[in-house]
This record gives sequence, C-alpha cells and structure tokens, in this order.
Amino acid sequence: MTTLRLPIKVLLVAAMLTASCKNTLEVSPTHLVPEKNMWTTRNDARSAVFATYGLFRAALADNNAYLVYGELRAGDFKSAVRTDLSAVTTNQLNASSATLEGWKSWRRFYAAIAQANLCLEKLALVHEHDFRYTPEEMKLDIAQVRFLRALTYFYLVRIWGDVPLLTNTGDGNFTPVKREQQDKVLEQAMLDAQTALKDLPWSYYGTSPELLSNYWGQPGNIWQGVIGSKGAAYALLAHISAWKGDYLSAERYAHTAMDNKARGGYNLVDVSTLTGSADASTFSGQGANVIFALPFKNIYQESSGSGHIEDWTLADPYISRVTPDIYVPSDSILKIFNEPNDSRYKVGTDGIATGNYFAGFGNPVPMFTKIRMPGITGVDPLRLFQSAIVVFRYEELVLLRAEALLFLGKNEDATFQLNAVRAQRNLPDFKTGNLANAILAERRRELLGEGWRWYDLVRFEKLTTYTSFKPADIARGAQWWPVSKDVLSSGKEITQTKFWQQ
Amino acid sequence: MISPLPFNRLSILLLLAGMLRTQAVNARQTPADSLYKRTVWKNTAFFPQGKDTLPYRTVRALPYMYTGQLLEGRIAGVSVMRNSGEPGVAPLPVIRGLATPIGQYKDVYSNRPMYVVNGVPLISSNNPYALRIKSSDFTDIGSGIEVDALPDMNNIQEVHVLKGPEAVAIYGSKAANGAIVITTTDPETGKYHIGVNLYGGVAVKPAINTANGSYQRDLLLPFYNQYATPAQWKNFPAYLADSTRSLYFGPANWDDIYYRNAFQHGVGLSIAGGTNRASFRFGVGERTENGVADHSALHRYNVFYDMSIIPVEQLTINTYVQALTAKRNRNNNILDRLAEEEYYTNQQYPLSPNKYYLQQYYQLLDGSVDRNLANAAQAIIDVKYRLWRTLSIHTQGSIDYNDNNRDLFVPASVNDGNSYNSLFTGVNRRLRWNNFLAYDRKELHLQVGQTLEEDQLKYDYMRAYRGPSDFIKIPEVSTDSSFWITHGKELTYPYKDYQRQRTLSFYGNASYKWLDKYSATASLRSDGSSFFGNGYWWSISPVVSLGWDMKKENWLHTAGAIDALQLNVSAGRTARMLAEDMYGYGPYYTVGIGWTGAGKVSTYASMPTLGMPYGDGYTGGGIKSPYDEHLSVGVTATAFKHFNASLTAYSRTSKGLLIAVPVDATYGFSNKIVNGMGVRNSGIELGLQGNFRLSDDLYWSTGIIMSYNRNKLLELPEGLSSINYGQRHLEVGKPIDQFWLLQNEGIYKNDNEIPVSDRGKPLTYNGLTLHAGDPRWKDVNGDYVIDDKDRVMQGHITPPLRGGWNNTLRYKKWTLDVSFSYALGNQLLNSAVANRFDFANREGAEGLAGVKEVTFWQQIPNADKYPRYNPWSLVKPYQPEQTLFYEKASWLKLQALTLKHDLAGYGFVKGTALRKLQAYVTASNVFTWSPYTGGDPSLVDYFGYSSGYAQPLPRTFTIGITADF
Repeated sequence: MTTLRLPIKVLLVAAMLTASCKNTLEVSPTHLVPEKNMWTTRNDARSAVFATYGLFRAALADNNAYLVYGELRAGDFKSAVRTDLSAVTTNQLNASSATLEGWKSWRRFYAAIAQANLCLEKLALVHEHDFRYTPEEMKLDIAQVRFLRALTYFYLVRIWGDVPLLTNTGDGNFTPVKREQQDKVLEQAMLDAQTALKDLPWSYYGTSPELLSNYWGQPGNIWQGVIGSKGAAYALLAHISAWKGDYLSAERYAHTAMDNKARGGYNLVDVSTLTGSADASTFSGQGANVIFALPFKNIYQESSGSGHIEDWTLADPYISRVTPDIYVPSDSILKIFNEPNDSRYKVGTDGIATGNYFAGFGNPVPMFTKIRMPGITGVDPLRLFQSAIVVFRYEELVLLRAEALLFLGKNEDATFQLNAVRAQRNLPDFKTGNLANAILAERRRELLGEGWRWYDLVRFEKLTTYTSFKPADIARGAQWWPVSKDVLSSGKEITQTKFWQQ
Repeated sequence: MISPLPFNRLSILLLLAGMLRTQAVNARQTPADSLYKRTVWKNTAFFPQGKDTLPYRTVRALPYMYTGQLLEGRIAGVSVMRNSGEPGVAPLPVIRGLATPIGQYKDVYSNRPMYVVNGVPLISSNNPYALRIKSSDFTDIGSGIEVDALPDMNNIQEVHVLKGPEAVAIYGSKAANGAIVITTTDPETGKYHIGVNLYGGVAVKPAINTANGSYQRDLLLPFYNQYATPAQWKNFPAYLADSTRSLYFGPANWDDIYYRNAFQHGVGLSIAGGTNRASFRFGVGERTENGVADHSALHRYNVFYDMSIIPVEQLTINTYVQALTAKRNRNNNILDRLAEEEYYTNQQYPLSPNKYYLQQYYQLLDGSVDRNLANAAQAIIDVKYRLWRTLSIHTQGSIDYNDNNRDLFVPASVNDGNSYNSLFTGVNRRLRWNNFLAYDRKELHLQVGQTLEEDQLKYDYMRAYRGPSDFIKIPEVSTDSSFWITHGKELTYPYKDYQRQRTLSFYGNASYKWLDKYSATASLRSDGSSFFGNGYWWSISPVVSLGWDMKKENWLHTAGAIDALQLNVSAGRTARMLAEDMYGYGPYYTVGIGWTGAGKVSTYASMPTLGMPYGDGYTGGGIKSPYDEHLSVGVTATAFKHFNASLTAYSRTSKGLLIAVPVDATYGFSNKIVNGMGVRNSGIELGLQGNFRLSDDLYWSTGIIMSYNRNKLLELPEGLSSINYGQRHLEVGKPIDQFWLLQNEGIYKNDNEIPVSDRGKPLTYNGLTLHAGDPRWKDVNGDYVIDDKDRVMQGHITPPLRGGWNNTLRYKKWTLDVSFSYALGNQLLNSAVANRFDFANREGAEGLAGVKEVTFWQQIPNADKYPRYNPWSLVKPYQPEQTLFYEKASWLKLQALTLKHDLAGYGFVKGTALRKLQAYVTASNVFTWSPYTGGDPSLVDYFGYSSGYAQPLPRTFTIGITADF
C-alpha cells in the first residue's frame, strides 16, 4: 500500500491547503471606481466636473421637468391626452401619477448639488496626485462647479421656495436637513455665482486671462454656450437679483453682460435662427444668441427621445403620432400673437397664418413647432431629438433688463430695450400703453415653450390674473411645487408647502 | 487582462508524481474491491438527513424541460413561481420561502437556488449585473434561457433538494437559497447497454372568449356617455370610431392563428459498458417543447460522456462531460419588444382582432430575426487517491462554460419606419478546484478541504436603430475604426461589462455515529469572496446536525407498530453571498447622468462623466456578508410497515440582509444600501406516505406533501418600521410578500355623498377632493385624507400552504402515476382587468403603458362586477393596488398523469436483446380548479400581478417508449 514516501505525502497535503488568500481575493471591480482609485488623475477631475453638468441636465430633462416647472402651470399649453399633464396645466398638483411624483421630488437637483459639493471638496486631491492638473485648471473647474451649484439652487428656490441648503457632501452621514429661508439660499447662490464669475472666462478660445490654453484640449467653439462663462454667470446674477426684487443689481449685471456681448459671443438673432433646425440655430444650444444652454448633441450620442419638448409637442408628419401631448389652442395663439407683422407668428385678417412657431392653426390641436431639432431627418424619423434646454439667451436677457429698468422707474430705457427685441422680430416700436404688460407679453411670445412663463408671472405678480389662484393661496405658497411623498418620508425635517398640505 | 489563476500547481505536480510512481508498482495487481461506489464522487452528501429526494421514476416520462417543473408538488418546501407558460421561460423554485423581498426583477437572483450537477455548482447564464443597462426590468436580457436549470432529463439518476444549512456547508455561501442537486446515471460494466427513450405528443390549443372592436366600444361607451368632457370625447379611440371597418370590427378570430396545437417530441439515446477497471456511459438527446401560443418553442440538444477508470488500485479517476445547446423561439409580444428596444412606437392603433389582417402583420414580422440561443458545457474530473487504508485524497477540477445569445432584428415595417437591431452575447465561465482529504474509519468520517472558484462573466451588447433597409439585418462596422458602415454612428449604442469573482473556501466536516443510534455531523466552513473589496472578505458558516434513532432504544424496541423512528435536529449559521459586486467596495463612482427614458446617455458635451451612484444608492464602507440562522427539528417514522411519515419544523432567520433605505433627498441619493434587514422564514413540512398491496397484483402508493411557510420581516436597518422597496411595501412584523391595498367599498354616486369632516373639510385623495364617480375608499385612519396611511397590508404572493398529492398504482405490468399540486392562501392582483378599465390613461399612451397585445381582444371575465368609475379622474380610480382587483388565487391542479405498460414479458420481446421495453402515455397540466377568474393563477409575476401578458400553460399529451438493450 505505502508506495509513496511519507515526505511526499506530507508535502502533497500541505501544498493542497496552501494558497495565498489575499492575492486571490483582491479582484478589482470593472464596473465601478472605488473611492481609493478616484481623484487620482487629471481625467478624474474632468469626469467629476462634467458629471455635475450631466446631473443638472438630467434634473431639468427628466420628463421635461424644466418645461413643467417653468411653463405648463401657466396654462398656455393644454393637454388632451395625458391626465398628468392636464393636472399640471390646471394646477392640480396632488393628482395621482408617477410622473407627478417625479416632478415633485427635488432629489435630482440635489444630486447635481451633491456632485458639485463633492468636486469642491475633492478636486484638490487630484492636484496633489497628478501634477498635470494645474492650479489654473483646478481654479476654472471649481468656478464651473460653483456656477452650477448657484444655478441649481436658483432653480430650486424658483420651484419650491424654501429649500434645504447644503454646501458639503456629508461624507456618508445623511443628517436630516431643514428647509432654509429662500433668501438665505439665494444669498449662497449669489455668493457662488460671484465667486465663479471671477474665474470663468468670457469664452474658451484660449485668449482669456482666466484660461490661456484650450479647455480640456478642445477648441473653443466646442464649449461656446454649453458650459459656464462670465456671460452666463452675469445672466444668472441678474436673474437671482430680479427674483429677489433687487432690480438695481439685476440691471447692473444684465447691463454688464450686454456690454460684453462681443467677448461673450452672443447677440440678438433673427427668427430663422431661433426656429431653425440647423446646427447653428438657437436650440442646437450653440446659436449665436445662446448664453448658456444644456446641449443634447446627436454627434455625441446625447440625443434622446425623452427630455425634449418635441417629444410632447410634435405629431404627424414630424413623428408617427396623431395627437401631440401638449398644444397651444388656436384661441390662445390669437391672444398671444396679437400684433400684425410679427415674424415669429402672425395670423392675418384672412385667417392665413405665417411663421414657424405653430403648424395647423385652426385645427382642434395645433402643433407647436417653434422648437424642432430632430436627431434624425428623412422619412419616418426615429423619435430622437437634440434640442438643447436653453437656460439663458440674449433676447431674454435684454427683456430682463427692460423689466429691471421698468421696475426702477426708467420707463424710457426700458422701452428702448424692449424695442430692441421687438425690432428684431419685425414689430414696430412700443410707444404707448402699459409697459409692464408689453414686456410680459413680449417675454411670453419670445420665450414660449422655453420654460419661463411661470417664473415671469411670479416676478410680475400676475399669477392671480392668469390662474385661478387667489392672493391668499399665493400667500400660502400656491406658486411653489409641493414636495413628493418620497422626499417627505425620507427627509425627517422636511415639511410640505402650506398650500399643498392635505 | 486576466491574471493567471492562482490554482495550486504544486499540488497537481505532486499528485501526478505520486500517481506515476504507484502505477509502476501496482500495474499488475487487480482491484480488490471491484466496484467503487461511484455516486460517492457525484454527490458528496455529507449530511444524509438534510436532503429530500425526488422519486424520479415517477416523472421520468413527462415532457419536462426545466428542473423547476420536476419539483412542483413533489418536494415539500419547494414552491415554484412561474410568470409565463411560454416554453423557455424558466420557473423559479423557491426553497423554504423568499429569503429577501422581491421589489424588482433582479431580486429574483437573490432568491434563486443553486443548481448542482454531479457535485459541481453550475454558474448561471443570467446575472443581475447585465440588467443594469435596461430601463425596464421585467425580463432578462439575452435569450432568457436558463441553462443551469435545463438538465438532460433522460440521464438523471437522482434529484435531491438541500433545503437547510447543509447546502451552504457543502457548496458554500452561494447556496444560501438551497441547492438542487442532480446526479446523473452511472456507467455500467459488462457488455454494451443501449438505452432509448422516445416520445411525441401534442399541447392542446386553449379555448378563449375573443372580442372585437364592438366589444371594446360597448365597454367604453358607457364611460364616455357618463363622464367624458367634449375634449375627452375628441380623444375617443380612433380605431373604434368607424364600426364599418372590418380591421377592428370584423370577426374576432385572431386566436385561430395565434394559438395552435403544438407538437412535442423528445429522444434520448445512451450507450454504456466497460470493465471493472474502466467503464463509460455516453449519450445524446433532443427535446422540443412547442408552445401553443405565438409559435413559441424551446429546443434542447445535448450530449454527455461519463467515464470511470481505476488505473491502479488506490486511484480512481472519474470524468464527466456534458454539453447542451438550447434554442428558443420567443413570443412576439409588443411589450417585450419595446422594452428591449427602449424605443416606443406609436400605440394608437392596436393589432387587428381579425386573422385576415393579423396575418398581414405576421407576414411583416417574418422579416424579423429573433434568434435566442444558449450553450453550455461542463467538464468534471475527480481523482481519488487512497493514501493509507482509511485516508484518501480527492481532487476535483471542473470547467463550466455557458453563453447566452440574442440576435434581434425588427423590420422598419412594424416599427414606425425605423428598424432595430440588437445583439447580446453573454459568456460565463467558472473554474473550480476542490481538494479534500477524507478519513473514513468505521463510524468516523472526516473531511478537510479547500475550494477555489473563479467566475468570469462578461457580455457584449449592441443596439442600433434605423438601418438602411429591411434586408440588411446586421449592423456592420468598419474594421479599422469606429466607423459604422450600415448604421448612423449616433444611433448605435455598444455596451459591454465584465465581472469577476473569486471565492476561496476552507472547510472541515466530521461525522460520527455511536451506539448505533446517535449520529452527529458537524461542519465548519469559511468562504472568502472577492466581492468584498472593503476587507470583509471572510465569512464563517458552522453547521451541526444530530440524529437519534429512537427505534434502537429499549423502550421503543418492543413497540411492534412502529417500525422506525428517527429524530433529527440541525442548526447552523450560514453566510449568504451577494448577487452582485456593487456593494462590497465601499463608496464608489460610476456613470449615471441619464434621466427617465434616456438612461444610456453618459457624456455631457462629449465629455465623459463619473459621479457617485445617486440614482442607484449610496454604498458605505461597512457592507458585510448577510447570514442565516437555521434551526430545524424533524421526525421520520414508519409504522405498520406501510406508512411513512415525516414532519419537519424549521426556521431560517436571515440577518444583515442588504436593503436600500431612503436617505434625505438633500444629499442627492435616492437611497443607501446597508446591511440590517432581518427576515424569518419558518414553517412545517409534512410528508405522509402509504404503500399498500391491495391484492396480489394491485399495488398502490400514495403520498401527500404539505408545506406551510410563513415569512416575517423582523427588522429593518436603523430602526425603521416600514419602507417602500421597489414594488413592495415592507412593514416590520409583517410578511415580505404582502400587498398594500386601498380598501374599496364601492362608488360615490353623487358629490353630496362625499364625507365631510367636522371642520368642514371634504374627504380627499392625497389632497385631491373626491367627486361623484370616484371610488369609495375606506378612510382607515379617519383623517379625511385617503393616502398611503389608509393602505392595508394583506394577502400573500407566495402561497403559505403548498404541496402535492402523488399516487402510483401498479397492476401487473401497468403503472399509473397521478400527481396533483396545490397552493392555498395566496392572492393576486388582477392587473389585466385593472388596465382594461384604466383606458383613460392607457389608450394610445406612449411608453409601455399603451401597449396592447393581440390578446387584448378578449372579453373581460365578470366585467359587470366592477363599478363604473370616472376613468379620467385624477385619483386614478382603476389603480390595481386596491381590493377591487384583489382576488383569491388558491388552486388545485391535476398536474400529471402517466400510464406505463411494461412490454418485456410479451412474446415479441423474447429472444431479442431487450432487457426492458416500456410504452407510456402522459398528460400534463390536465385540470386546474381555482376561484380565480382571470386564467391560470399559478402564472403570476414575481410582484403578485396577473397582467394577462403570460402565455398559458397548455394541456399536453404525449406517448412514448423506453427500451433498454
């Protein structure tokens, strides 16, 4: 039996039971980056910063949230086929629907803020680990992130009023946070925007003192309008100030942004650029009037079916569908575009309509075609769109300045600015009448479908005119969105907006 | 780059050296003990009490494909869940209850048992990591075939089910949900033996009540007449507007071409032979299950080779190799297709209920490609070398490979003018090396060993939209760049992923029997998994099992009525492997900047992004392996020679389970994943069996199986008392598979019926005032707001009581097997009906909600019993989650009948080489009794909804013959 020598047997058994455990079990994961591997190279910084942009874009694009918050509640658009959208257009925000729950949740906005906070805390680590990440680059990245944080908080305040204010990541501790007075939140947003303003360049052609080389090795035209710039920061500051009612500052910021339009690379454009589908049109995100927009370019595989107004407003022959989800009824069109010769849209006395804003005027359901950036052209196009979410554009800024001047009592200057836009749209100068109404009407026409109307009504204090809300409702917060069940149940310190309490 | 395996090469060399040396000396000796019991290597069952054995001969003749079908009603404690009768859709055997709640489809993997063939745990062909790229997760990505659950039914010797801690003790923490252990037939010695099994049959087309446009119109019109506003009238479904159109108002005979009588067949051939020193078995087989609906089918082809050699006396080498290829013809459901495409076509016009028009649609579909293919191969080698008389060393190595492929092309003609292509290839591979030393002396058995497993999973997935024509069915890419020749680059989305896991285990087992009546088995195992990159690699799993043969005691020895009485107790604390590698690495970064309907977008302005998993949930650093505490007490007895009874009471307490808990949304995360959920499954399993000889020729064996299982959520992390988890609501102290429902009490006919509180506040639904035409939901907490607080936890998705009644009658050369299975105490939500009434939100809706299959053209059973609510009401009156759609779904099924006749004694057989010849007929799924109105209640999705999308389980009849030469 014993044909093997004992030592061999012992060795055999011993060898069997030995294996180096630690090396065996150390397997790097391939579909995630553990904390210890992050923040080590220059590209980590880049990916983290652009994730902030991406998350902010996702917050606004999720079920067309930017449009739902900024426009649908005002009632210019109607929906015949979707109960969730008609609930919004009639301000019944307590209706039962999964999409409504999504819009009521601010989590996606706070994801952008969390990523911004993360970048602010950790970008310095990259600089420590990778000498190629220069202090100049880091400074600019921090400015980008601060700009985004300011912008995100500004959206949050406009949508929900008092919201939690958080400027750190918590690092895995999720201590409940209370709602903060909106003034405080806006103060933080102002601070962030002002800080960002200093380090952001006007443009990215490698000629600004803030950035003397190509940003991430890309030519300047790649970045035009789609990431933070001085112009965007000024526009943001002007808007935050106007929202606070500080029209003096608003005017100052808007003024500066306008004075530097050549450096910023933005200007007024004509209607064909505004409503066109070409690469340089406004809703490509890089039109000549765009100050800041969130792009969804096809060539980068960022186009999508959802998250675009076209997904709701178009039907045959543009996409295979009989009825669009939302539309502006013909009588509203007549009310909004009530001046002859408007190059955006006009209906002649003979009932013939011209302009690109709509198609099928007079039909029960006209189509809103102002924004039409199909990802695909040709017969039976795929439902894939690349229209950018335009956050700030020049015409809007000019009208904001007109509004600021109006509220500062400088009616003449205000009229001048208003007429600059009107002239661009083939309208005669405004001469007499209610200037405030004229500015508001001009914003309504110009910015239709871009997610401004609700905020405009709030700023102009016209909610009671255009909605069924009474002043008492507004006092209880009817202008804000309610928060979702999820936000309420997970946020121990979060309370429902008064008006929406059941 | 794959690093070389750290398998222990030194040990192999030494073993080889030893073998060569021995061979030289022993070559001329003959084996003393001629037959080494081969099943020992195939099934190293160190815990004899811990397993249940399937009486395989009673099911051998049935035309089954998946392992799960074998177990239904035949093994106590196994509850089979199945969401469709479609061939290729695998049933999920759940052993002793759900260990963790199923809130989303991927949780199925956390409840899936392990499949073992000849001692080798198989790697699954579907894995949750691949589901992360899908935005709707009701089916698997790829072919959907589960190759590890698709054994060669002709070659099965035994099927055991390990239900308790023994599974982990033997196979490691991946077997935490139990193990289904298949042992294949051994080689035979002597002259060649040939075995043949051949059957054919038919699955019978079901009868249904079809409907056409006029039925649908008559269904909708009363709602329109009563509630619709002019704007809503304008949206009256266009396809119902013109009742002269035969497209929708012609005869509703779609079922003529949708359903069919489907042919079933199978063949198995094997040949065995050899000497005491070397023997083999080789076989090939084929089996086809054609579905009755939608031309679905599953084909399986397989081959195996089993060989045993004893080159020298102390050395035994066993090898087993098997391979299979399976092909599935899938359903043509629009829902499945759009979910795969993630591109939602216009759903305003449904398919026609008339076969003339439907045929045209199917002709268009003929231009599509939907290839679903899965392949698997396993090779096992087991070497046993006797070192000393009582000490032997075993080395087992195995390679397990499978792939999973789906190639889909949808022509533009059925896809809104845009063709769609996708190609999925998943490859999974497991290398396993198991070495142990065994000491066997009389009543003492010891094992100590080590296992190393390396799992490599990867997939490539590519989707492309809008190809150039319906004749170009593959996307082609230029070889020298990422330039797409056929498709637009912006419309082509490639994905790939790779997951690797190493598991290193050490184990020791000991068993001892003394005084011939007490037995004890103990096992200690430590599994280390690379899934825990945070340093918590190791888990320890101790298991003890004690047996007491009471019949041997003096006080029972004399009791004549009792022939045997055995008490078994087992206890253990076993670890539970995570299903994915996403949690054990601490805080991590990933790509996640997509939004609803655009999850695939990964860049911003062309720049790559990397952020924290805000949508998926935060993972902290301290994730550890969950573990289960087991305790079971069982008694088995034989009395009056003919009666066997077994009774087992068990409890399995799972602790430290991972669960996503909500965090303050201000931090951006939707949740965080933490250990800390506790779930207890406890139950009683009862088996009663009687064997009776009714006359000299008539023999009857009958067995009743009852298993009662209750699960209970013991705790949630951080002291939470309730939580919403995917599609489930969980409350501490309640079962994890309950519905959370509004209590429906009728309808408000007038506005003045709406209750008003003392303070003048009318009843609202989530703040929305109720009106006439809204449901009368019970305000449980009396706060004049109907909301989630008024939902009540009730019912069970998994039946609390489940079992079967199995009979065998033998009369001379005739054998009849009759098998019933039943489920008692379960409920389901009839979402098929709820969705029909919810037309206001679904007619023409975009996305998956608006999809109508051709099976939509059926009448609603008991349509009159549902109140006529205002379907446009913003309170969602026809939401399925209310007692209106909650139905009892207990059932009793005559699941199988087999009649066998032995032909061996007949004259025509005599004088041939036939050792055995048997003819048989079978009938499966013969009849179902149930109070449920909406079809087969045994077909429910994992969330308790009966959606009506499932294909029925057909009644199937086969006739076959088995011969052994």
